[in-house]
Amino acid sequence: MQIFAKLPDGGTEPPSWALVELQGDLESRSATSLAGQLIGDLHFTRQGAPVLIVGHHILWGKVTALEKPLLVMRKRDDLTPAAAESDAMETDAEPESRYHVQAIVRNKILFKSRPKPIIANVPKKI
Amino acid sequence: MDYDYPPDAPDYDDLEDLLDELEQEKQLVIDDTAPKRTKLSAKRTPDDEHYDDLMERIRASRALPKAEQFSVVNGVERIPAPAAKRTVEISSRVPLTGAFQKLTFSDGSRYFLTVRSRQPQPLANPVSSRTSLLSRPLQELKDEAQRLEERRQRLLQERAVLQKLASWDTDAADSGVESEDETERSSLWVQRFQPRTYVELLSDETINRGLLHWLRLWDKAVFGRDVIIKPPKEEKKKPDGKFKPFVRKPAFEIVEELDSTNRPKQKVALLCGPPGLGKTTLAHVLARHAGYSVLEMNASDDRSVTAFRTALESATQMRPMLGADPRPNCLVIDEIDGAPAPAINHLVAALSAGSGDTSSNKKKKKKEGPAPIHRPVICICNDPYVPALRPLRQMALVMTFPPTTSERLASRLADICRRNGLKTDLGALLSLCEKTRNDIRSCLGFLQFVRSRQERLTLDQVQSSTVGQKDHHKSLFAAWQEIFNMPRPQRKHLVVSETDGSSRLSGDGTSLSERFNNIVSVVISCGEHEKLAQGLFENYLNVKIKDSTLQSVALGVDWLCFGDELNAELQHSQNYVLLPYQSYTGVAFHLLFATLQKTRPAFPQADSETRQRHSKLNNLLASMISEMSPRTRCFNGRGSLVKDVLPYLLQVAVPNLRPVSSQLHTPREEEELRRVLHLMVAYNLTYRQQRDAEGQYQYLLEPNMEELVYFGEERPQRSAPYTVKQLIAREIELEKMRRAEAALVGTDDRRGRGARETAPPPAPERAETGAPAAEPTGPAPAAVPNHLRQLQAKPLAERAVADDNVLPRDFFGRVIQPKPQKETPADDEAPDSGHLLRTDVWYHFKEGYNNAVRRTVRVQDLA
Repeated sequence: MQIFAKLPDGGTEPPSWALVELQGDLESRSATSLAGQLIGDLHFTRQGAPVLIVGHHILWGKVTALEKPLLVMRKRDDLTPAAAESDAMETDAEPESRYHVQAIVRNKILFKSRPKPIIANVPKKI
Repeated sequence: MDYDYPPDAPDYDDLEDLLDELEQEKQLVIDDTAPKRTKLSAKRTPDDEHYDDLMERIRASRALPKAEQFSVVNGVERIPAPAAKRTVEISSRVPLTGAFQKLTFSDGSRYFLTVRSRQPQPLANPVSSRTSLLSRPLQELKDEAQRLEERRQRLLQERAVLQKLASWDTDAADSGVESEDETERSSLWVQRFQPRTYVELLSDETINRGLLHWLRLWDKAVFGRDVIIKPPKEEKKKPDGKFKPFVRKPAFEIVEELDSTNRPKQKVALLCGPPGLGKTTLAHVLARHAGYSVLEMNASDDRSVTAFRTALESATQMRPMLGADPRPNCLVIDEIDGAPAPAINHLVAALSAGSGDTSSNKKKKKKEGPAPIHRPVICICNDPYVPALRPLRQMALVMTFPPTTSERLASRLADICRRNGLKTDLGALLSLCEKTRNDIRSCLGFLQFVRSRQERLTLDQVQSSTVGQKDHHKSLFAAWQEIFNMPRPQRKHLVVSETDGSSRLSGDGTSLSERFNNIVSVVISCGEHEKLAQGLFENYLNVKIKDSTLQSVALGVDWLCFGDELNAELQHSQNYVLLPYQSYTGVAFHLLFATLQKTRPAFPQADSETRQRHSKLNNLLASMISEMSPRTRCFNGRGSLVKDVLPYLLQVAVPNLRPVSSQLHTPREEEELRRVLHLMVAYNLTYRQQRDAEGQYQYLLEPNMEELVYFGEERPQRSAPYTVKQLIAREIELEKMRRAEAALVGTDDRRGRGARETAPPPAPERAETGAPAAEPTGPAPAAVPNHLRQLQAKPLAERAVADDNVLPRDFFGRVIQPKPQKETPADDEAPDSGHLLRTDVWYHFKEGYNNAVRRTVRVQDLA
């Protein structure tokens, strides 16, 4: 089956995303869903190494290229606008569903090392 | 021997000869450092190899007195400088550096002697340097000392004469006996008839020769004479290969080698042997014979380390200057086995010092350790195997004295008796010798005692006397040997005494009464009755027992019991009246079990073994009882536990289980297992895996009550297999844990139990986060079993509350107002990071590699 994908701005390069791969789980203390929650901060050092801070953990990772790039696509199956528009792209039948390329993923940020704890309040005097 | 300058006094002719030679070689450096002693010895035996060196030394020695002659002419002192030793260098020009001495001769020629001080001379010849140290010339002092000595002798003689006149002597018999000096009459015979020369020595000839030879090995170091070293005589034995001639192993071995300082390898001789064999006499005679003056140090002297050191140093590094006997010392240390170990260690250190090092570092060493010894040292002891003597024994020439032969001693005694007018016969003397076991000292003492009362000595008197029976110690082994061995008939020449009641048999030591008396004396001289009895008890069954009814065995055991009772009573009541009776156990055993066959008694060990085992088992039992549950303990006394409970308990506590997995057990088996578990936990028994000698693993009881309950090799017939024991061991651990938990919960209240059930055990989570703030603290932590509990930080809130109540005050008692927010940048970050850390999401890291398991995940599965 052929799937037609549409680049958002008519042929220009879609935005480039990156995967974040963690060796471990993200869990919630209150056992609620993670949706919409702030996970942490992702920074890059001057050398380009990614640093992720989750809770009181700090993770150091690296950027690796994926063997095969991935596409992030959105499926659209609104019939009416598709029929109305009748772009140059849709030469064929089956205008029911279309896929919009949202982003292209070429890299992933891999955090596989053991996280280091961040100690918030260090006593001034020992 | 003269250590002074050579007698050929130099004159101008010699010097002119010397100067002629000097002109040939413009400058001549002469080394005068070598001691003159070696020069003298070299003169005697000129060696072709060192001929040139020798000539130079001779020239130097001639030149030196010439230089000194000036000072003799000019002043009182012979040598101006305090040290008489220099390195002399002669040149025709003024030396560039250092002091010098001008020499002008009749023909106007002038030479210069450079003068340098030099290292002090080695100790081997300490005397030659002494001349200049004295304020008066040596000869003068010697003469004066001689005069004093003569005067003292004269005074002594006068006093002796006075004493003789004053003493009132009634014994008329003494008057015509000897023409010797009257003073000697009162002296001891032992001293009077001491051997004074080598030929008079009574001791074993090989020993005499060996010791003398060893002393001669010192000649090189002490006198500077060359030592004749015997070549090893191994090749003599070779020719006959068929049978080896019987070569007696020598009692000692002299290492015929000299070390770097010309001293023999064995720096000390150790003479050992029973008392009265003439060890001390031998040492004295031989040392005198070899040209030494003897210095003796014995047990009556101070034996502290410092005293020992001073004595040692004064004896081996100095020599008497005065008196008629200016000979080098030989130190004889008598009864060294009684000396304290530090003193002996010091001696060993002194002996080993300076053996390997050269003269250059000898000076350094002198400060650290004792100075090396340059004179022979002879040590004398009775027992060479005293622990303190061990280091000395290794470096010493050990000579064990064989006893003097009775015949030789008896003939000498006969000679002495004849000279003192004591009438006796050889038989009596021989029996005296045997009775004293050839102790010369006690023989002579006895003879002198007899002589002081009468003029005849008969065999009777010897037999009835108690001479020589003291101070003689029989070892335990010797005593056992004597008891278990029938004495062999000895020579018959000992005539039967008339007064002795046992004279019906010939006195060859085999008659009943003789055996009886012998054993009594042996046992008494041994003294260790308890050990002796133990040895008898362990060895008497090894003897061939002749009577088939074992009457003798029963009797022997009776006697042992009697001895034991006696001993117990003795120790208990301290009633030493009973002491003599103890020796008759030995006699009874001798009469019951003695055989002609040689037996080799073994040292008794059963007693100590049993004692050890007893204490070990007691410990086992104590450890078991201490851990037993109180409910069981209160019904089990120590005695009843061992006798009544444990033997059966071990049988009962073996479940009848099939060796299968615990899931497959029938309910009956489970019931039985539970019963055994309860039993073993109650008695604090368990199984512990152990590896035996063959490397096999097996489960043993812990504490090992089988050892306590069963004798020897006997083991229970019924024993659980390995797997069952393993199962039981594991179940016991679990059961104990369960009980501990139950006990903990039991002590807590009901609320605690409830809390324990509701409290979530988030153990892994806690381990990962380690954040105590987010920890849900259970209401009753005591409810958690001990092994599951974890350390927790103290809650800080309580502290804060407490701080609210008690306001902080400063030194003057004013309340300190809490400061407003601190403005330091570090504190600025703190709330920030605290905020950051307070997020709900946390990261749970998973250990391992993320590519460990790869699985295809389809998108449709994810949705």
